Amino acid sequence: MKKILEIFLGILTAMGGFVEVGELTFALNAGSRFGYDLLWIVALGTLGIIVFCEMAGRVAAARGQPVFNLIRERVGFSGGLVTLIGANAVCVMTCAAEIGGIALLWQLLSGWPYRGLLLLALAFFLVVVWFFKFNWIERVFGLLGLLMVVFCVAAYAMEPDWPELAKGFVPGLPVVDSSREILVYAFFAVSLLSSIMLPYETYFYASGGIEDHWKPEDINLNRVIVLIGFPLGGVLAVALIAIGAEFLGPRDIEAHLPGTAALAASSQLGKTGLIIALLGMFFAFAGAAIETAMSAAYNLSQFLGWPWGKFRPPQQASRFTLSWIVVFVLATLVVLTGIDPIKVVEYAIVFSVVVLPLTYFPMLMVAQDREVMGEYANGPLASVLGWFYFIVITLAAIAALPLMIATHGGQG
Amino acid sequence: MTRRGGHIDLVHELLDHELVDVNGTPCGVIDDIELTGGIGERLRVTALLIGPGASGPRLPRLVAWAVARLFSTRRVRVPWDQIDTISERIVLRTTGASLGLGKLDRKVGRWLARLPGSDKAH
Amino acid sequence: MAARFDRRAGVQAAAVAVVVVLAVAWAVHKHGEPMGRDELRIQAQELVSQAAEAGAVLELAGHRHVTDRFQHEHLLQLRDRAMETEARLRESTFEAQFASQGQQLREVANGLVSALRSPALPAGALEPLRAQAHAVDEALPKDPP
Repeated sequence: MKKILEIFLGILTAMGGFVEVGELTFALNAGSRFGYDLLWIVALGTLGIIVFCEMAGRVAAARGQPVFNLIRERVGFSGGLVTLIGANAVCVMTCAAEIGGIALLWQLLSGWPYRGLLLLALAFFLVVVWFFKFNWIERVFGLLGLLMVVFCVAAYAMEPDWPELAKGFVPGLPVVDSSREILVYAFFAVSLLSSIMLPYETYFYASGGIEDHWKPEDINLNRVIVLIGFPLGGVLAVALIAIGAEFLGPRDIEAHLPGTAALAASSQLGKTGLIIALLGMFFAFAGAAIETAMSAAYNLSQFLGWPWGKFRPPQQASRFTLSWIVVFVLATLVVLTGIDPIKVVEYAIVFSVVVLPLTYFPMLMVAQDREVMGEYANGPLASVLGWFYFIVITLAAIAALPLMIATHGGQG
Repeated sequence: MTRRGGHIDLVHELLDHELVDVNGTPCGVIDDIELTGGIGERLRVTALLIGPGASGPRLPRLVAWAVARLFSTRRVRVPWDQIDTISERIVLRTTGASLGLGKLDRKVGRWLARLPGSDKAH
Repeated sequence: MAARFDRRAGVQAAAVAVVVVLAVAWAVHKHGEPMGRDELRIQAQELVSQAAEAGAVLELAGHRHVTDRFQHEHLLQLRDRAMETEARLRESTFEAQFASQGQQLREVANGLVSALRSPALPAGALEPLRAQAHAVDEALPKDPP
């Protein structure tokens, strides 16, 4: 019975924590600009994050080793250091964007000044992560993030063009006016894929498995959670694309503020929809801010061999604790400069895909190593999928920066 | 010392692997290995080296110089006879503190002790 | 082996410095260039989006779908974005052939910022601005298919 509850909560947490400010923005804009033509990217990305989180979770459960320990062992010190710096830079930038997004949301609800709200958000995160258990944090923000389901309801109420929606799952190039639009489409494809497969999710998921003291018996629990929870999260992304296609696109609106998403929800569901959307986004962004800050702290601690984990008192994992505190402070400083948080996360997402192959490669190597994993090593399916996705993300990594430059950051 | 097999692959099984003490607390990562013995003599592993002073020199020159300036050249020498097991992790026979490992963590821990709730796991 | 700043470190430092200088120079050059067709289309589409979104807020407010607080704050956030667009257009130069389009966009941006400043905005007030920005976007030469 307890196991069933744990599975159920795990699934809901995975679903509620799926979307963050970058993915939200890219999905809405993908829908606005290209209608349903990018839905196949959502499917591709969702399957990809399932493959990697399942692998990372399996390694954590089987060997009690989270991701970054493995990276240093497999890729060596210099290569590992490059990966660490890249991954943590993305974590800090993403955390900054989530905090900025939260301040914008609170401003829509309260009218208080933006910078003051940034500091309030910082204080909020420091207190929450310091005083509350890992499990509690994961559950509360994940479950309350489920308020984002309001976007699914709103999308359904917009009566989407179902045949068009279904066609969107078939990979292919859109019918566009010019070759330049193809480049923009490619940029959106790469960015949307990256925003779904942000590596902090994998690091956090694996470290979380250690925090939850997973054993080899928990491998199936891990599988059920990713196989059901993440696709449900993917449904949220599909809903956001539909909202982009049905509400934003026809009005020529591009989403650059979190309020835009709430506006779309309110068009179908009134004030109630508006408030639920704002709250849902708050919990989703807050969950992501916490995950990115803790990921950065996990990565650094694991790479350098420091004691880590919320299962240890702060005094005994002191540098780990200091790390996540510093990340929250740095992230807040970044957005205090007045830089647009949505711009920050757009850059973070592009940079992330460039670093992605470095992160996944060592994990793939370990997960298929029979000497290390024994009977829990990759079976044929995990192997094929793992290598397939490695090729996909390598191609995306190569294409990302040229596309960003050629399309002026995806604007045309 | 217990381990599987008869040989130890210094590069793949020791270097860059996590060091853990007798209580299971992480004590760092093996940054370098000390070998003793001259040319033509028998080479023996005499110690494992932990710390930026050991890992820094492995980096490209410019980065190594920056690391030495920004952090320190401190390193801890863990004598080979203090190793208990070599497997997934390298396990020590004794606590990290007794070998001089984890000093910085304890120092930062004393600052954090001023904050309420720092001695409880949350 | 102590870490000295020796010749190899010096060469590496020089290489890093060259890359940084080149990157900064390229960024500065790009920033100073007059806006061409692509940049102007981007600005035009930004203005269309901002005006359209503000219009949508007012329309939904009229149907009582949003709270007063949200209406007020979201329009202010849009105004901040419009001010950024306006500043960008004001501080840039335009390629000679697009001078008039650039000027028109400046006017639209100004109009949008002023409109979003006024406390009581009627629902249709932004439509002309949106239409004008859209017209400029359409008037700019398109890519060959």
